[in-house]
This record gives sequence, structure tokens and C-alpha cells, in this order.
Amino acid sequence: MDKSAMSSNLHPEWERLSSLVDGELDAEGTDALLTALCRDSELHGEWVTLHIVGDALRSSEVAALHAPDFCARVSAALALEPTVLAPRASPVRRSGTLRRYLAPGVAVAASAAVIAFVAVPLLQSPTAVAPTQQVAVTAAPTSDPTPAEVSRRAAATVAKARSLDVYLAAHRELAAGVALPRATPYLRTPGEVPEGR
Amino acid sequence: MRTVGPAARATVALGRWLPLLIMTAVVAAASSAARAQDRPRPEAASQVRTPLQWVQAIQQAAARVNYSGTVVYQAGGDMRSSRITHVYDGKRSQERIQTLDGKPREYLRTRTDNNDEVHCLIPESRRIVIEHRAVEDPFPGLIGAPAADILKLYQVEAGGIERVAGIECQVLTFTPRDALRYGYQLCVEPASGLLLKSQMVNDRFDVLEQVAFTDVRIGERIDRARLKPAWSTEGWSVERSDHRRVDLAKAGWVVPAPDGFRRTKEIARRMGARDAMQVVFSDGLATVSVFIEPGAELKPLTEGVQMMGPTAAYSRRVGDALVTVVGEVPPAAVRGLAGSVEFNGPR
Repeated sequence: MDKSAMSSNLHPEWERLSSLVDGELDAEGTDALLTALCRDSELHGEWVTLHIVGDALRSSEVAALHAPDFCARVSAALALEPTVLAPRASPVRRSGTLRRYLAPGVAVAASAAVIAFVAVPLLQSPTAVAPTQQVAVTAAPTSDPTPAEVSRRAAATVAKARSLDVYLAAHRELAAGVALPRATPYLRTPGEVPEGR
Repeated sequence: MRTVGPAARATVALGRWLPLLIMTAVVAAASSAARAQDRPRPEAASQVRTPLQWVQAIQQAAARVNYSGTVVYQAGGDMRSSRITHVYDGKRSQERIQTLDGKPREYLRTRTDNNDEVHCLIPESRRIVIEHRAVEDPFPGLIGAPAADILKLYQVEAGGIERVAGIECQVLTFTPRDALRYGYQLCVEPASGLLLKSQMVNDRFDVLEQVAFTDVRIGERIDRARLKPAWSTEGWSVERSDHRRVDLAKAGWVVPAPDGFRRTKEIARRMGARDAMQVVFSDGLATVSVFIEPGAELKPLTEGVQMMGPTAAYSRRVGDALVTVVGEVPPAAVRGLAGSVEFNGPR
């Protein structure tokens, strides 16, 4: 592709962006460009377009999966993640070697947080999510919660779920959802029995 | 030297070309027949039906079409399948559901214009529990609400053609017009209108629960013998379900219907060891129950909204009663409904 012919409507940083994607930009340039990418939404747009074009060249199916929404959702989820504490704990940041040592630890902390993020809303109320994540933040870098604490929390959740089961069964017995087929409540909860006299 | 007349020459030519002509004709006929068979009828149907007609077709089919097959329900980590047989004889719709996972159960349902009865068979305790639904219940689901009302609450759009249980079906998306309900993605067999797949999705298009046929036969004659239970129920005990109709307003309770929902049931019943009143609301696709349990010793079961797979639950105290709202609607809707319940004292 003749880049110079297109350059008039391209972002001034386009050339360097392209080198970054190809892995040809040096470390210093990469740092500067990444900082710019975070600030400059136009440049960020170029970044997205570049990837869409690349995917389109490789496979139309992959390109069809591009959803601007997806990145926003991932960003939002990442923003909620309590992962930043681990690297900040270290005051020294001398070289790439140190970063390489730290990175796996960060990844582990991040995945623990993701598990908390994914699993917690299913077990607990949305209002309880924030404090639970807080626990993940403080606990992850130092030590795991004690087994007693874990089992206590699990038991409380199970007990709650059990008492709600009665309501769930009663609700589903009488609640017909979408008409597939007409007795959906029985499909949802076979094994349950309407309360007899 | 023999001379050959023009007619003879034509005959020779025809003789030489005839096999080719016949072959061409055969191939053309065969390919046009094949085309007629392959033609995706769903596309034609989607052009013909409006969203209103689609909803009506689904409602009609669930009650009026003969079908049998296997249905899988899945929500979160929970998955279960059932075998279903449904027969309509012009007056009566009869349905038999056999659970294939967990404890064996059979549900036999008979519905006429003015009656709806479900027999639940429990083999391990040799019991039959009969649940009787009066006609004033516009059950179930989509069946109850007029199609036009459903379109006021959901924007219905026809999508592409998919394949479910080996059958091509028309995708229909139901996008809620407010935050009180989830969205649905349905796939409907176009000729009969039978729903083959239904997915409930939140505003981020995560699938919260789904039900789908994995195999199904539509519109065939079904022998009545296939509606008989697998067990001989001779000597089994028969119990009637204990629900009785109540008037909550008379008892001083105000339980306003959420926007677009209609009250489909208002009963008193046993809940485990306790007595409770239950109000059921439906908007045609989603349902919510409100439980009211007068009794001072009960503590709220949830702090905040509790999610049980696709179902949200929230409870709060109102006077000396515990009010618990449970339904397949967004958490905020459950909380809002619980908050709107009031006790004004009996009239």
C-alpha cells in the first residue's frame, strides 16, 4: 500500500502506530505512543481501524466480530478490577527484568480478581459486590483468607440460597414464562412438586 | 449416390440430438424440483408476517399444534431436559412432560376453554398432586397477554434464519422498551409458528436462561397412548393443591402491578411450614411473584437483591409482615416492586 498517497487524511502518528502493530517500534517510542493513545481519542480511533483492516485482510468472519461495545465493556470491567495494588507495592522500578518478574504475580492477582468479579454477582447481591471485591484487593497480595472464613462465608451463602429456594419453587410453579411449550415452569424445575394438602 | 431429402436430414439430426434433449429436459426438471424443495420458505414467511402476526402465530401454535420432542433448559450451570408430547384435538389440548434428569416426574396437563389442570406424578411416594387452574388465569406466558399489548412493551423484529433441532427457523428479537424486563431472542418454525428456542438476555446481551428443542416432530398425528404415564397409578394417593383465592386489597394490602404487568393470580398457600399470600404478575413473557407473610419473627432473607441464576429476589419488612419479590426480571425491577407494597390495615 502506498502510505504517502494516503497520508493527507491520516493521523500524523499513523506511521508509528503501524510500526507498533508490526512490533517494529523501539521501547521508548512505544511508551510515548501508548501514552498518546490513552489521551488522544482520534489516535485511538486509528488504532481500532488499523486492527479492523488487519482482521479484514485475514478473515472477513473475524472482522465481522468487531464491536465497539466490546472494548468499552472490557475497559469497564477492567476499571472495576482491583489489580493495581500489587505492582505499586514495589518502590523500585529499575529495569525490564524486574517487570518481567513482577508480571506473572500481577497476572495471578488479576485472575483472582476476575474470578471474584465473575463469580460474586451470582452468589451475592449487587450491593454486596463492592465489599467483597475490597476483600479480594487486600487479601490477594498478602495472604489468602483463612479456610474458616471461606467456609463460614460459603455456609452463609448456601443457607440463604436454601431459604430462598422455597420462594423460587413457589414462584416457578405458578409462573409461566415464554410459551415454549406451555408449561415452562415445569421445564425449569422438574423434580419440584406443587404443595399438596 | 443417394440423395437425402430435407425431412430425412431433420430426422437424422433429431435422432442424433434427441438423447441430449431428453437429458437436458430431465436435468432441468430435476433441478427445478430441487430448487422448489430447497427454497427457504422461512424467508418468504418473514416477509409476509408482521411482528404482531408473529406473536399471534406463536400463541396459536403452542396450543393448537401437535408436537413431540426433547426440550433442554439451561441457566448458568444448570441444565435439564424433558420429553414433551402435545396433542390438540380441536377442543382440548393435552400435554405430557417427562423429566429426563434428576428425579423421575411426569406432568400431565389438560386444557380446555374453561379448565386447566395439571397432574404431577411422583413415583417414589406413589402420589399424584393435582393443580387446578381456573380460566380467569390467562396462562401461560405469551398465551395470556394480547399480542398487541406485548408489542407495546417490547420492540419485536424479525432477524435472520437459524437452524434449531434440524429445522430452519425465523429469529425474532424482543427488545424491552423499559428497564422492568429482560429481552428475548426467539426462533420460530415459520410454517406452524411453534417456538423452537427461547433465550432470555439482559441489556448486555448475556444469555441468562434458554430453552430449546433438541429434536422435535411438528404436526404429525400422535397416538393417544403416548399421553399415558409410564407408571400404573393404581392405588396412588391423590392430593389437590392447597391454593385458595384471596383478596389482598380486602386484607389491607396494596400491591400495585408494575408497568405493563397484569395480575394473573392472587392466592393463599402453604410455603413449607408457613402460610403465605402470593400475587403473580405477568407481562406475557416475564413473570414476578410477590409473597406476603404476616408473622413478626421473620427476618428479611436478603440484603440487597439476591440473584439465583436468572431469577432475582428481594425481601423487606412491611409492618409485621415479610414481603419477598421473586422473578425473572432485572434486579432493580424486583426491588422497585417490593418497595411499592404497602399495608393500609384491613377495610
